[in-house]
Amino acid sequence: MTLVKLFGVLFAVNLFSIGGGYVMLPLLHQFFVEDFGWLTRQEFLDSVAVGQVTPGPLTIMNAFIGYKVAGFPGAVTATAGSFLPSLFVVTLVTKYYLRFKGSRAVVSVFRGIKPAVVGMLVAVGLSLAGVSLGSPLTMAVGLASFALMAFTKVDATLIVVAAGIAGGLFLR
Amino acid sequence: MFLKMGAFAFGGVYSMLSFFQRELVDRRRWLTQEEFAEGVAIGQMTPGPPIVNTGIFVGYHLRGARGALAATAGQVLPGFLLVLVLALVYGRFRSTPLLGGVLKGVGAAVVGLLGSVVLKMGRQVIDGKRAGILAVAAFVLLAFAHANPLLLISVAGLTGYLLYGRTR
Repeated sequence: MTLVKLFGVLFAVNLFSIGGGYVMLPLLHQFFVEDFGWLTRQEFLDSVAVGQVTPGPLTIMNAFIGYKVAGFPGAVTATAGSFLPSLFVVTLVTKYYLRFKGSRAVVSVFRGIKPAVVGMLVAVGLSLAGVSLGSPLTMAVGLASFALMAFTKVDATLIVVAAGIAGGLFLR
Repeated sequence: MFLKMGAFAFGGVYSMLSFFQRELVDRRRWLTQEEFAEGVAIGQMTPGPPIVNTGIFVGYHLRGARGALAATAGQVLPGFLLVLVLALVYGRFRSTPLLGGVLKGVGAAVVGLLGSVVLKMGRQVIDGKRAGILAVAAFVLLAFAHANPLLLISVAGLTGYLLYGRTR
């Protein structure tokens, strides 16, 4: 039953996460942390970190969540649920690309969705900050990561790895 | 087919469009520059990670449904295997002080990264009053009313259509 639910939620979330990685975070957070209680906020943060340090898209973090929820079958189910929407929709769109291209309806729908996603990301960011930025040291790490990512070209993976090393040394 | 999967696996590992371009357009000549640009555009407006979607487009373009499947598998597998390893390590050592410290650092970094994503997306996307109102409304509904996010996105899309879709 858990597997069916896991598959269904991830399929729906990924169907709605256009533009990749971070767009799906508010959805995943709401369902897995707030609604089902399958993950704590800390575990959710850990999953994002895992997605960030592994090769390929952030979406692979869903395999980690799946494993946490239901072991190996969970990881497989989560991965299938996460990537099947892409497979179906891209195949369809490729087939009918010419009709879809630049359609005003499609463009206007996205103009509505994108600002909403920004607002939802702020909500999740605040909720997670409450868990992970408790001490002056973690706050410093968070600020440094923000500044590096926002104002330099340092790779996100590198930032996460460096923060992990700093944490292992100073936050034990 | 296996060779191709290998090529896509590398695309996944580096997660770089430029790598795709060099490998598929310049070196192997499986795609023209124009087709590649179309693939990138499709990747951005379909659900899921854009780079994987562009890969699926290329796979479908070359070999139909089987190509699309091979492209997905090739891009997802390397990350999947590594995630399994990390999940095992996580499960076993979660409660040790060392990993606890590492995860505290990593958690703080993730929040920082999220902040920069908000900043970058916000600058690009919030281009006027109407977009600002939509963003604030979505924030309030999710943070304080815990509205269903799938519903929020659907309503935002519908609002976008009503605001921008019908006027000339």
